[in-house]
Amino acid sequence: MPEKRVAISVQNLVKYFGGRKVLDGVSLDIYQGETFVIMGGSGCGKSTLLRHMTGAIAPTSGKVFFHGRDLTTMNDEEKEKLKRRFGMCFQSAALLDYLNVADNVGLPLVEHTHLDPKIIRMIVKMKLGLVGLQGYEDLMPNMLSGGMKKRVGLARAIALDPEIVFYDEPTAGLDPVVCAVVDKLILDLSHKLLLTSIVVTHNMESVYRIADRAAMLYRGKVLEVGTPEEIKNSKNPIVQQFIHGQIEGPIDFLRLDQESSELVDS
Amino acid sequence: MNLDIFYKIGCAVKEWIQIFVEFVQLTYQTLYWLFVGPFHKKPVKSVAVFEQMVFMGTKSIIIVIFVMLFTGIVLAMQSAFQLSKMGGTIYVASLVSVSICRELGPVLTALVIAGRIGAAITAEVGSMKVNEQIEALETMGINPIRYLVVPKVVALFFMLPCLVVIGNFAGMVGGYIIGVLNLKINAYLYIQTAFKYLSLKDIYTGLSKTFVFAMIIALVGCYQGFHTKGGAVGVGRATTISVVTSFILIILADCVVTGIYYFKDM
Repeated sequence: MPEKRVAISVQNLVKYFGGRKVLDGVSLDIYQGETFVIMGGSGCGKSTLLRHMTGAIAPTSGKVFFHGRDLTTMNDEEKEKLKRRFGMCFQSAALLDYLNVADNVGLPLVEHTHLDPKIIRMIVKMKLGLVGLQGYEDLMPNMLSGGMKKRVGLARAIALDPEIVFYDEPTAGLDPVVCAVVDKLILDLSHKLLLTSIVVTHNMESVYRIADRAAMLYRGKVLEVGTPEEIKNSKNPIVQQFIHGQIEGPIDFLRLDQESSELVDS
Repeated sequence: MNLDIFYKIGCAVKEWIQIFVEFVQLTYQTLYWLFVGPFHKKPVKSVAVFEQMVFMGTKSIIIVIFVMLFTGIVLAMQSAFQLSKMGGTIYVASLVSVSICRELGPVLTALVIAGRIGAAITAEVGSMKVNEQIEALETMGINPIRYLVVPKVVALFFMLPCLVVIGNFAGMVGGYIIGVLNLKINAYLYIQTAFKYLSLKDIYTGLSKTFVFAMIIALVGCYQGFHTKGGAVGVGRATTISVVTSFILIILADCVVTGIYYFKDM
């Protein structure tokens, strides 16, 4: 096995939202080419962690390195350049409503390259082919089902041939079959395009299906990092409660609810 | 506690200062992307500007004509009633043309456009914000101010004065309808009197205001859109605030600009 290179390194990340600590000293190393899953309950800070990695929000303290370069101290121009090497797949797909499927997927190409519209059209066709949606170019986003929207979002995320793709809850709100399809797609793309994939999810089936390694986040802290097998056999009672979805256990969901509602307020 | 009131006042002042600073920042960035951005090979797409011009300008012509025509008619009727007591109904013509061009045309058109376009801008940007679409743009390395705000500001900057010219004409036609058909003033005499007291200065003082109004409508609309939170309810709230703020600022700016012309000539 070749030596693993660190693609993204998060060091001692702390983030406050309106006086509440959302991330409490998170440190993670994500290697190139792996599919890394960040799991945890609602409001545990996993989406916040993802947004730090994409550079969308700045931490209160701590650092995020992308191939050794610090994202948190970069100026906007450098960051924008770097962002072209990222792809992001949003929970709600976040397609622009007033553009059709082809224009949505082609948007990063139109904005960042000087390619001929015909070539862009071809690339878009190819990317849509990768997610199994060839022939849907002229549809508007509101004509698509939830699963199709996510796949279009995925096609857009890979439009610029990124090195890293971030997925925010890729399977949330989808039926089990479509979940499996999306999971398979994530795996296929990772292997075909040699991507580093970082997936945020609370769907345990997805974790077992796609993860090379996974991290369990709880109340802003990383509890456990390891292969799905290691997570499954974890001795930590919180992890066990989470992966089996039990009501009884150390996770006090009443308190969690209260805290996540505070988070929404802030 | 009586200290409580000071705390509340302090918080309110702080909030207002923050809003003001953010608004100035938005204006600065808009100007930056408009004038400096093209030198960094990131020009604003002209297609987007023209699309906005069609939406804001061409499609608003009917409502502007409608409002200004009836304003002209009402103005003529009201003034004819008063002037007839002094036997000066002929002056209806100049009264209508001067007051429409100096004041009513620009302000009423701006208010109509604030209602139609300002609300549309906030609703569009606001729903993009709550649906993660703004974040998606940022993650793709597309600056939302360059992509969304600048085309709107530029389009309205050029379209509002055009609409005002059309509105001025419609208002004068309204006056003409009453003057010629109801007051039985000779058509030639009416037109001659209408332009006798209307100097070029009246027209350009009126038009100069509209550039300020256009900036207010577009920037307030975008600002409120970008600061929308809380789903559909939030979009509704932001839209209301946007229109109300635009109305107030338009009236204030009108007072200031008129004041400048008034005191300059003294």
